[in-house]
Amino acid sequence: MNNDVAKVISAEWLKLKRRRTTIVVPVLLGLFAVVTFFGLDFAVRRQVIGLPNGFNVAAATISLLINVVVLVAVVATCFHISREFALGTIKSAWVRPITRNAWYSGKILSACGAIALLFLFTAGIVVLLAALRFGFADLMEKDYLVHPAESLGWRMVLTVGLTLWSLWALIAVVAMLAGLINHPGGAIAAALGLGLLLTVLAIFPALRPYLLSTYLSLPIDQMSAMSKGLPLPLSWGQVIRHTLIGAGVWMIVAFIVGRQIIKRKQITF
Amino acid sequence: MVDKLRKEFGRIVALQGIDIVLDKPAVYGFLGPNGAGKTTTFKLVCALLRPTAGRVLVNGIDVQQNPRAAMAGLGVQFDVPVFYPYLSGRENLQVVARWLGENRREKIEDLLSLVSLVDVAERRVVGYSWGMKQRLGLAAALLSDPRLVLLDEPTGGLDPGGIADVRRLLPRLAHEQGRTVFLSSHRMEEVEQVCDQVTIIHQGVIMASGTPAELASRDTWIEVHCADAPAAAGILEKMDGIKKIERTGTKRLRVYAPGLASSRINQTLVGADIVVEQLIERHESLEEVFFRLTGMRTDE
Repeated sequence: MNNDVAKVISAEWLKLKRRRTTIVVPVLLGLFAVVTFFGLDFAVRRQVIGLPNGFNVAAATISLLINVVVLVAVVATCFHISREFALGTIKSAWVRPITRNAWYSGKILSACGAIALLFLFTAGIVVLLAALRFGFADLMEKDYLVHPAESLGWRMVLTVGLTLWSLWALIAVVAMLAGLINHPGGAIAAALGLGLLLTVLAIFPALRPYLLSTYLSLPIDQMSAMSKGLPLPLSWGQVIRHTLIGAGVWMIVAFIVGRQIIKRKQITF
Repeated sequence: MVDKLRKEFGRIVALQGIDIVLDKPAVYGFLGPNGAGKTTTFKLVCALLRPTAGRVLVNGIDVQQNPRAAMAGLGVQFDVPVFYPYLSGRENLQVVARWLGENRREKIEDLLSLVSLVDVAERRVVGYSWGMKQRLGLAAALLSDPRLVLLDEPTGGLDPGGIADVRRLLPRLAHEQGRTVFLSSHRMEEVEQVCDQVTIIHQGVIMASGTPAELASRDTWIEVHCADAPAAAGILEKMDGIKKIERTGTKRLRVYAPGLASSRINQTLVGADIVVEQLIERHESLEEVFFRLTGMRTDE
């Protein structure tokens, strides 16, 4: 890793350690995961929805949880970058012997790291609760084996990994917007506006395969369908290819554009 | 070195191709009214802005071509102190040290002591007064051991003790530690007291440059207080060496006569039976030079 990027990440780590939100956000998200899990647990046990299987309940909980993680990622990334402009601390950072590219890369990588830890922490809680309450057994339809537990387990790991990849693409896109707008509130509004636009565009089936929102939900939808024994609309190979390539393209394009925005930015305040 | 530096913001021309040379360790003052282009110049030197034309070299390195290398030799204190409010003073310096890629624990403690912030170093910056933030800004600027130190209004918001400390420190940075200090200030007495060289800027144009003594002695005159100023003016107009005479009151004259001794004027007037009450040799103060060059009135 570039030495300057490491310097920026090191400084971000120091800042992160001292912020109250570093404790508050994971605790709140953990509570949300627990409450959601037990809500679904209640519904499953009364046969309102789904199957009383650990994979099914975990997938259903994570599919709800991911919406909150996306919101946290958007807000946190906007604050992470735009607040430097709003506070004026960007001036202090940019008069040091680190390139703007390194600063931007360090900021994005530290945001990706923090969101990854947050997502893995909360998904871990859900998986643990599912294991304790239901156990991860084979999925059976009467006497027929639909999916063995090992296959479901690996798909669960793959789902978490692919969702994380899409979350990183989202962070790159939001960071690009935050680099453009000098205030966190404005950046959050722009990111939510983009989210709304993607939702509207998702009405058109021809566009859906290219939208970032699709890659965020695709692996978890596939996992949910698999854990219920439903027919899968896509093969897992297709899900992996679509998510890796599609979210990867969004990530790379957003990163390149964001770097150019930061490189050309003038500090007039 | 600032070479033919021009900066436009749309239709507004902030700098009209200025040249500044800071070629030796010394304290250089940068004077100008609000909106003259001082902060824009500083931001261009720090590569926070891109010039419309011209270039800036810091320690021989073009800041636009190679900002990373140029910034290695530069320390900056901004007019508005900027820090992470949720971190303590010490932690803010640690963040700067991490950007520099070094620990610098001892250096941080030395600087906290230098700016008298040791007692409050653990307190969050959000609770600091403006003056404390200014002092922390000075410490942050010096953390990288820079050869060139830019200070934008370094004594703004400081108490008298703090102002005196900074004024004692600046010449030491230049003359004992061999740094070049470039500071902008609105305080004339401060510039006169601590600066070896002064540059006056107005509406994006350099109006004058030189040592405070040079700038102040460019325009000298003799103040004549006598019983009959019109008669005295009539007599002095015929004298050799008189450049200009201004009537400043019924009993007062301002005589511009470079190289002419006041005793000769006295002799001439007494010889013409004019009662001379007082003769004072005067030169413009830096403040007067500033007001004259910038076209500002002292009561503004």
